[in-house]
Amino acid sequence: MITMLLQLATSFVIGVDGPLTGILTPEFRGVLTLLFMAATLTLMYYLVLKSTEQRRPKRTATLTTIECASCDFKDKREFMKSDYVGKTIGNCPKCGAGTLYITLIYAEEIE
Amino acid sequence: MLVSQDWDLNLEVGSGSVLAEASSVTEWINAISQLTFVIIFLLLFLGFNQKLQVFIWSRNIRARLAILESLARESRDKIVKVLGEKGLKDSDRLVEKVVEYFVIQPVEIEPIDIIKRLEHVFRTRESRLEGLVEQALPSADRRERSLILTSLEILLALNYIFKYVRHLLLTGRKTNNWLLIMQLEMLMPQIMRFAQTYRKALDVFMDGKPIGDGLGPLVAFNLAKFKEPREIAKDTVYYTVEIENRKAYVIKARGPESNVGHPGVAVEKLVRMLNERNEEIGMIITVDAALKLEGEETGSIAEGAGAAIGDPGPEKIRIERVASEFKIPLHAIVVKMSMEEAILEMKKEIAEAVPKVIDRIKELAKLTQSGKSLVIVGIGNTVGIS
Repeated sequence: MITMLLQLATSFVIGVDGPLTGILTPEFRGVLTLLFMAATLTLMYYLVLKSTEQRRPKRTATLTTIECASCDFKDKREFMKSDYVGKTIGNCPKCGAGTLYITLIYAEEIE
Repeated sequence: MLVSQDWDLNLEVGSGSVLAEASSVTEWINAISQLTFVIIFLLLFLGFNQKLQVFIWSRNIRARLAILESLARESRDKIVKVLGEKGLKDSDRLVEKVVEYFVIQPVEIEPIDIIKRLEHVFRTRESRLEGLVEQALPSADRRERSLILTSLEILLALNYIFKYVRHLLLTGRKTNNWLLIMQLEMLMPQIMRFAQTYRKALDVFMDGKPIGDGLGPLVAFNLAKFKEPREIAKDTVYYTVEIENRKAYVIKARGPESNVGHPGVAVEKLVRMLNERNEEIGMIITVDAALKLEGEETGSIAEGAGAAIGDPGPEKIRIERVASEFKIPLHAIVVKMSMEEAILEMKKEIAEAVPKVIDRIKELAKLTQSGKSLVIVGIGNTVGIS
């Protein structure tokens, strides 16, 4: 719509004979036409650019939280395919007696 | 003198011809612009703008249809590769059977036993698909088979989305139905979003990671921790625990397989069993993920009344019927998340909501008279959660 209006203005500037004919010399009309055409192209480029804008996808890492059933030992590491919440994975390195198990698996955004 | 006069005359003649040329160029430009506008006006009047618009929309839809096709093809290739690695020789045949599987909705004009009929149709589907995968992979364990089955269901969904969009586009073009093409063009961003989410979900399920919808089972796991599970319905277990000095029965689907169990059947069976033992139930609490509205925060908690379960009807109605039959208050606690967050790997914000949900459960538990038991149901897919 705006592009059409600009084109209309362009033809008006270069074509019509009227009260402005004395002021609007051919050279001046030529410059105005070029300005309107440049404005039209810029607007079209901006519209195309806006419609194809894409957000960058966020990067995430999957982490596994490990806790001891007996003491307050807690650790985090990268997820492994065999992990699942509730899986026991050995003895606690802190108290020795307690069983280590997976309590949480979740995705966290990374920079 | 004659030469200078001649020279002046030549100059005047020269500048006049330049001006004459300039005005004829502007006249041409003017004429072309006016002719262009007349042509454009005539074309608008004859409906050319509509044909042009439909052409542009069809072209856009075709471009996105190619993406949908590639998503379906990629997923299929990935599943066929995994099945091949597990020793299945004719994996294409299995994939073909599952991907084209359909369910016919029961007759709705006669609603009397529609729930029973719907449940029967779903059970038929469930046992057939499970049977196909078990037959194809007899040596695979339960968890592996469940992950393969869920992956095949995701492929089924992707395949259907692609075929349906193609059908609408071709129908619109064949019948010159610009309204259909327009509606399809308007819906394409949403359809693409769904399809891309499903494609990402395939990777999540193939890795066996917990998803956002696993919030309910995760809450149940945290309430039960190391208690021994007991099977009460197909793929559904319950634990006996203590919450705020009250006996509580925590129900969830059996994990870490990818399945949702039959919580409705489980609640009904458990409530009837406890009633036979003259054990009074103070309340039933269902915990589930809920779709958030745009602008709402992921991981925010809300409480309500009713059965928080997103099944088509058979499971939900069992919980509602048994609660109303025995006059047991039916509470619901939900954690808000988007559709993508529900079927992709569990986000930190959702995992952090688990202790808050447990606090809410304890708050509700205090409203029950001591001596009465609680039934807590963790609704959701239990993939990656034992």
